[in-house]
Amino acid sequence: MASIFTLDDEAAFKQFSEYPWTTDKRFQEGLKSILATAPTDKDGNIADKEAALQKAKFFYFSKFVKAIKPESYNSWKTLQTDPARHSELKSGTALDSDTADTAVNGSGKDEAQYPRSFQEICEMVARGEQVPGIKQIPNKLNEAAPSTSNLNPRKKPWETGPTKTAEPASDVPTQASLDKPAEATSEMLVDPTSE
Amino acid sequence: MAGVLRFRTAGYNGYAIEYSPFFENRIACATAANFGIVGNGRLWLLGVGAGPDGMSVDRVYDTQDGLYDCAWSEAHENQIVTSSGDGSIKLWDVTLSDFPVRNWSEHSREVFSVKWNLVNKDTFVSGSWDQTIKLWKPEAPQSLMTWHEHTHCIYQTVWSPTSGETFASASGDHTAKIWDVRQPRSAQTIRAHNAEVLALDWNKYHPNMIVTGSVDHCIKTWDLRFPDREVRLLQGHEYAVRRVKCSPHSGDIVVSASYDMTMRVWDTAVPNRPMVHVHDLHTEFVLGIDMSMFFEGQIATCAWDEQITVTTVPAIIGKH
Repeated sequence: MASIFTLDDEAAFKQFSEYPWTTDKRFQEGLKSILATAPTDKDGNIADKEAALQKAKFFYFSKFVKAIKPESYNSWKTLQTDPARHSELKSGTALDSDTADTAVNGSGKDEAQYPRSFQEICEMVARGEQVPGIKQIPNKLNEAAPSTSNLNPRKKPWETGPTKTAEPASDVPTQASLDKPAEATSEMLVDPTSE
Repeated sequence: MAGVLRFRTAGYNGYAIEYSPFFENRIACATAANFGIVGNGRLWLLGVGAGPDGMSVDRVYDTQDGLYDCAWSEAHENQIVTSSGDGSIKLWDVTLSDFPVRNWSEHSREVFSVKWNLVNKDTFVSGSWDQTIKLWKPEAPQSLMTWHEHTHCIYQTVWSPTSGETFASASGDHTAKIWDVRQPRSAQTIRAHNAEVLALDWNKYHPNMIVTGSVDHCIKTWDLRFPDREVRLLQGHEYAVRRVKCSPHSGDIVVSASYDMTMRVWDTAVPNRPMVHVHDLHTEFVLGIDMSMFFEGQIATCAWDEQITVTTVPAIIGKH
C-alpha cells in the first residue's frame, strides 16, 4: 500500500468509506435540508445530486467524526481499488485439495485477495519447483532436562473465588452446567483489576 | 503504554499470538514461512516493553513445517505447546534452546488449533484439518482421547473458562460443537453460520455464552441454552473473520481479526453500533489476536504482513 498517508489518515478514510450514512438520523435530516435548498435545473432536478451528497458527507464526517481532506480521501480510494495492488488467486491452483483456500474460501467474487507473493509461491509449488530457503530441521527432542515449575498459576481476571485447580473429577455433567444461569453476574460488578 | 508497538517477524507470516498467563510482558507468536504453503515454521518469544523498539526477541524456535497455533501451559510457566502444518504438536521448554521436549505426531493433516485447559490446567486440546479433535496431557506419550464427529476441517477449539471438563470447537462444516471430555460424543451442536466457522471463543463472564466468526464476514454471539438463534449478529468485517477473543476483563467486549486486514473491537452491550474500534495497522490478513490479562485494554495482533502490533484501546477499559 502506498505509504503517503499516515496510519491515522488511513483509519479515518476507512471509517469514512464504511460510515453508516443511511442509518445516521442526524446526517439524513441534515441532508434533507441541504437537498431542499440545493440549486435545481429547469426540470426541478438537483443539478449534481451525487456531488452534493458527497460534499455533505465530507462536511458531516469532518465536523462530527474526524477531519479529512476530500482530495486525500479520493486518492486513497483510488489506490484501494487499484487492481494492481493485489493479484487474484484463481481457484484451481495445484495446491493439495482444499488446503490453501479452505480457510478463506468465500463465495465467488466476494473472496479476500491473497498477496501477490502468495500466488507466486502457489505457482512455484504447482510447477514442482523447489521454493528457496527451506531449512532442514532435525526431528529430535531436546536432550537437556526440562525446567521445573516454581510458580503457582495466577488467578484469571474472571476468577474471583478460590482457584479451581483442585476441583474433584465429580464435576457436574456438561449439559447441567450449561443449564445453570450465568453465575458471574454479581461478580461482574467487581473490578477484577482493583485488588 | 502510548501508541503502537511493532515487531517484524521477518520472513515469517503470523498465524497466532498468545500472552503468557504467568508473565505480563511475555508474548509468543506462531508463524509460518511462505504464508504457510510450504517451508519452515518459527515460534517467537518476545518481551513487550523491552528494548529500544518496545519489543524484543527472547528466543526463537525453528520447525520443519509452518506453525499455526500456540498455547502457553497454564501449569508450568516455562512451557508452551505449538501445532503445525505437518500434523505435529510440540511442547517447548523456554529455558532450553533449539529443540522441543515433547513431540506428538498423531494428526494426519494441518493442526490449526491447540488450547490449554484453563481450569484443570493439566490437559490441552487440539483441532485438525483431519476432522479430529484430540485431548493431550504433557506427560503422556499418546493422546488421551480422539473425537471424530465434525465433517470438515476443525479451525478452532476453546476451553470453557469455568469448567475443566468442557470445551467447544468450530469447523468448516458450518457448526460449533460443545464437548465434555468424559463423553465420546458432543453434548451440543450449533448450526452457527451458513459458511465455514473459522473463529470461536468462550465468554469469560457468562458461562453460557460463546462467540463465533465465519467466512460469511459475520460474528455471532450465542447463548447455549437457546441455540436456535444467535443473541447478536455483529457485522462490519468485509471478509472472513479468522479469529475472535472475548475480553478477560468484561463480558461485553469481543475483539476480532479478519482477512479484511483489520482487527475490530466490539461492545456487545451497545445496542445500535457495537463496533467501537477499528485497528487498521496491518497491510495483509490479520490471523492472530490476543488480549492481555494483566493490562486491561492491551491487544496484540499478528498478520501475514510479518508485523506484530501491541496497542491499547482506551474505549474498552473499565467496561465491567
